[in-house]
Amino acid sequence: MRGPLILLLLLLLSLIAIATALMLGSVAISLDEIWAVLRGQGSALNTPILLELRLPRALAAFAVGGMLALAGAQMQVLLGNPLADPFILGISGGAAVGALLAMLAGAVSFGVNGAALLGAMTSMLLVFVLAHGRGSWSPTRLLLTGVVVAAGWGAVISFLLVLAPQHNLPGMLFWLMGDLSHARHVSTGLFILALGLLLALPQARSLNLLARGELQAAALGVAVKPLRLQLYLTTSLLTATAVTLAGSIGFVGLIIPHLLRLIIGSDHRLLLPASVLAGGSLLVIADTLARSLFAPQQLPVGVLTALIGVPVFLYLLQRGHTR
Amino acid sequence: MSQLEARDLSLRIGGRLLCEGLTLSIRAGECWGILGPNGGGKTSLLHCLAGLRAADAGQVQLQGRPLQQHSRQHIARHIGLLLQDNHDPFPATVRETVLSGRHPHLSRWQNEGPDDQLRADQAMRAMELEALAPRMVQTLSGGERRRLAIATLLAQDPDYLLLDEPLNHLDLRHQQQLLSMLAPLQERQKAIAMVLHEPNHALHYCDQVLLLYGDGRWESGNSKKILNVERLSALYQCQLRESQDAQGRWFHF
Repeated sequence: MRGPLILLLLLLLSLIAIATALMLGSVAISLDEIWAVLRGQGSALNTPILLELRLPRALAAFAVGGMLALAGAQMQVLLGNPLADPFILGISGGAAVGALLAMLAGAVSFGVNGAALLGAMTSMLLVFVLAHGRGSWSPTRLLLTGVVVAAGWGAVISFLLVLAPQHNLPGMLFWLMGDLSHARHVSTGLFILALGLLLALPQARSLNLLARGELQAAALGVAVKPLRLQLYLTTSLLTATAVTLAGSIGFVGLIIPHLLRLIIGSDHRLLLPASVLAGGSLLVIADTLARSLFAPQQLPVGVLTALIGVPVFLYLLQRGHTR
Repeated sequence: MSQLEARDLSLRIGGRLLCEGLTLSIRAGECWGILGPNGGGKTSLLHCLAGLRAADAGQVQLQGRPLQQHSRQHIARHIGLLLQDNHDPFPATVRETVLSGRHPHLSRWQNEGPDDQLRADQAMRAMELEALAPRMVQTLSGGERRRLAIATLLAQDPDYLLLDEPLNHLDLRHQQQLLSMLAPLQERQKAIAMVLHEPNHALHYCDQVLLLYGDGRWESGNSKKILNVERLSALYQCQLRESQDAQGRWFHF
């Protein structure tokens, strides 16, 4: 009964986080008023603020946080490294190069998102093929290849920024910094999150084994190659979607799965859904703080995820494995 | 139960021929010892028999069909492999790890049931791990981890147990305990093939042996007949001697 209880608590946390995000802002809105708006009986002032600004932003934050944490948890298993994060293999770099090129070509919204997705997929494919190379494939080799390709993307990004005409620069920099205030396609984000979780859950028990090494997993009946490919594709889809929606928001994908492993253990049947809920909640809370702490000045949400995550993480590490 | 067979198997590593034309059948209730020098292909052969590595020529058959025609899950229900080393980068408890041995017997959406729990308990008891059940794997000693890996294999309960240096890291008492578990397993019609470094273990606990010379040559047969000073000295390329006492023959330096 421990698993359902943990998920229930995290679901409650998510709801509280989203409710708080709806209440706080330049105009404070009470729970009663939120309820009225959701029933279609809100005031003329509150309704657009909630339905057009705060709710989409909160849901976008939840979707992005959930996707990053889910991708991070799976990436850690794929690379056999508990310190891996979704951006480690250069997906965010590839997405950024795609998005920047599209912006330089004059594309807007959909074109930029499509190019970001294409860039992310290109990066994933490039890393996968290069990591295979001649001879045997190993998580270490994949990791090294990814890190080097990511560094390459970094150079290309700098190159594009230097060459870009002045009027393109603000948009490009904005994209690179990562921000939720312009997040569109919220429903796409939530759909991809749900899809990612649906694809991952049937593999959860196999992930438990893959976490103990490819040979051990294969010896216990896991078809490692297809699983690895699936992990690779779903983490890239999740990360690419998250990056496309909100730029590269660091730390959620690393810290949430790692934190949860320390608290609830490494059974992925519990860890994967818990990561989605906890990652979503963290980003909703961080984004709410980012836009209200120094209002009207907004902080980059990545600063907040780090400020919240670092002390909690260090505390848990100090406490050690107490389970 | 049918047999696990190697047919005309050749193994190479880095272009070097390790064994050639190896033909072998492991039948229910048999215990095989695999001996040979370091780098002689013992581990590669076990991995090949478990379907984790493709042969360079020939094939391995389970239930009369090539391994490749069986699903990974089907193979793992019948063939279990104790790896030479285990590593556990992610936190997990001893109990969770032993239970993971039940993986091949569960369908995708199924969780471990009371029967799986019972088998895990039995496996932990057999390896004296009950007291360690709630402990994190990372906090175990080398020998305790070895016992954990063996307990996981026992929970998996395959027909063929392929053991890669099963006595590694174990203290003498647990070595003795493991070796004395073999006969009851054989009585339950389980087949065992294990890589060993001590020819005396092969002589006294295995009924069949396979000698891998590491240059393509191999010999197999009844352990009492095959194992002698001349062969073992040639196998390990060092001079061995033989003594006799009430328990039988012993090889030593």
